[in-house]
This record gives sequence, C-alpha cells and structure tokens, in this order.
Amino acid sequence: MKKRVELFFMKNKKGSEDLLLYHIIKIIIVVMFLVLISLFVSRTGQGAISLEQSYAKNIALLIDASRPVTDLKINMDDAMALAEQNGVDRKEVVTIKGNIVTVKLSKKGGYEYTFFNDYDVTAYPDIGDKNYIIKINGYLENEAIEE
Amino acid sequence: MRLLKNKKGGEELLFLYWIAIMTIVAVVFYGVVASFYGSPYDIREVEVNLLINRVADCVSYGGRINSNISFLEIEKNSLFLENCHLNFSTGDEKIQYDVEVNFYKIEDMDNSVLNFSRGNSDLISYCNIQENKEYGSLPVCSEKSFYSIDSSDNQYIIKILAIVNKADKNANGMTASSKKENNTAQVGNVCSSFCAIQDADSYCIKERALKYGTSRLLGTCYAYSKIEKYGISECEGLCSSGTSLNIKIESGGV
Repeated sequence: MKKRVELFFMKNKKGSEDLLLYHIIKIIIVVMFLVLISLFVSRTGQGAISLEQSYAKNIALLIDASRPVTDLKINMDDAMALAEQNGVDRKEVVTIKGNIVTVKLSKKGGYEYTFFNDYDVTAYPDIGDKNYIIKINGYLENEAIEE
Repeated sequence: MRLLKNKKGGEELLFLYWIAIMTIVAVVFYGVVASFYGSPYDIREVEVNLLINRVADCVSYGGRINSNISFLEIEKNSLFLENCHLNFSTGDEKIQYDVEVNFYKIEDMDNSVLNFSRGNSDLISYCNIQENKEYGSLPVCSEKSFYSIDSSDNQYIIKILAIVNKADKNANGMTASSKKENNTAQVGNVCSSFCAIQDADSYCIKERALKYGTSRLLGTCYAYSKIEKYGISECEGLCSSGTSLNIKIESGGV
C-alpha cells in the first residue's frame, strides 16, 4: 500500500513537471513572438526607405511654407545615425538641386521630392550635431520655367 | 491510462492549434504593417493649400490687389509663374500642378472679369469626378476664395483653384498619369466591365463625356476622357474602387 502511494505521488510529480515545462515553453514562445513583432515594427518604421521619404517630403513642405531668406534647422538625429550606419557621408544626406530635395540614407537609396517655390535653397549639416540647416537664400533669377 | 493518453494527445493538438493561430496572427500583422509603411505618405492636401496661399499672397497682399503685378501682362504674356516665383517643373513628362485664378466683381459673381491659369489644365477634369467622393490615386483639388480691393477701391472676390497631381509619389496603385505598355490585360483584371466595353467607341468616351458631363458611371467604372493621337485612341477611366485606368485602342478597331 505504501509503495502504491509513493508511486502515485511520483507519477503526479512527473506530470506536474511536464505541465510546468509545457507552460514555460509556451510563455517563452509568446515572449519571443512579441519581441519579434516589436522589432519588426520599429525596424520597418525607422527603415531607410520610410525615413528618406518622410524627411524629403517634410523638407519640401517646409520650403514651400517659408518665405525667402529663412534658415530652417531640422533635427535629423535618427536619419543621421542611420546614414552613418550605412556609410553615407553627412554632407550627402540632404541635397537640394533646383527645386528637387533628395534625402539619402543608404548607399543605394535616395528619395526625391519637388517643391513649387522658385527659391535658391542650400542644405548643409550643422557643425558638431545631428541637425541639418536648410537655407532659403532668395528667389532664383527668372528663367524659362514653363515647359 | 487511456484518459491520460487522451489528455496528452489533446494537449499536443491544442499546442498545434496554438502555433497555427500564432502564425496566422504573425502573417496578418506582417501584412498590415507592410501595407501601412509600404504606402507613401500623401502630403498633397497640405501642398495644395500651401500653393493656394502662395498664389493668394502673390495676387493680393494685406487685402489689396498687388499693384506690382500687371494682370493684363500676365494674361497676355503668360508670366504668372515667373511673377509669382513658382516653378512647376518636377522632372515628369507632364506638369503635375495646375492653378486657376478668377477675379469677380462683387456685384457680379457669375462672370469673371479676369482669369488666368497655369500648369496642366487637363487635371481639372479629375476635380469634377471627385465632387462627391475623393479618390486617393487621383489629383488633389482645392478651391478657396477671398475678398480684396484694388488701388481704386473696387471690390473683388478672387477664387483660386489649385490642383496637385504627383500621384506617383503620394498614392498607391495605378495613377492618373501612369501609362502601362501592356495595359489592356491589366484593365481586364482591374475593371472587367470597362474592359468589356472598350471595343465600343460610343462608350469610350468623348460622346458620353459631352452628353453627360465629364464623367459617367459605367457599371463599376467611370470613363471620362479620350485622346486621339497618331491613329491610337487613348481612353482613361476610373474604377469605382478608385483605381485609374489608361488603355490604348487602335482607332480602326473601335
């Protein structure tokens, strides 16, 4: 009788250990799943393609909303860090040629967006920090604009 | 013993279900996130309002019509863009903007005393289509009006209509300006009723447009313009889903 009781408890103990292991594995999988999802979302949101587009469009809108002889200082912490990580020179991150804003955060990438104001605009990185200066110098000389 | 075995089997099955549900959740999540971040940010609504403000500041400032600008000269010499320091070139084949300015005397709001427009006037037809419902893949239109007086204290209402297309950079899917080489098959997939009528010239589109206005509901499609060039008829349409179409039909075949 005593042996039977011992055997019963041993079996039960093994069962509860299995159950515990099963639940631990389940919890680990759920945690891994959540971590992977968060990583995926944050990486997608802060990816070069998304940031390039966001900054190019923001800069174009800022230029369109500004008057001549304006200096815009834009905090581009995340973009500059990404560009550095991808080996893109700080000076190449934002370039403005004519009325085309180009933001480049990866060697192969780059996103262009145009603004409609006929301004002479220059862009250069601020010394020492991760800001970018967009300088609206004035109107461009009237040239043949219309096609 | 049998019950125990059954219990274990049930747990394994439950675990498999659980994994399957997790996989489905992950796939759906991936799809939603990818589509959210994959679609471009549409800033045309802001852009079109900035353009209107820019033009408004150019034609009238501080409630008075800008005396530095000779509107007759503008009308005559097409110097509107230069005078207002606007640059509509985007590197695209077609101009992506359109601006129309109308001056009305306050006593007669039906007839404009002066009007001028610059940009791609073809875009106006897209505004008519979107009177009741906006389609993301079509150009964004906005019209604003304001009161102003000239140097002789004559009172005017100035209406500015601005349109920004740039659909390639701001909207998903096929756009008003995109032209596909092999697009007839694509049209068939996207909008079968339009595809079905594409052989009939009467449906496509000029006559209908003239008869019914700029757009006409054709099954699940709107059809709204036709251009004939070098023996090729080019029809443009719009699915009720918001997808714009561009198909080419040989003139002889229709």
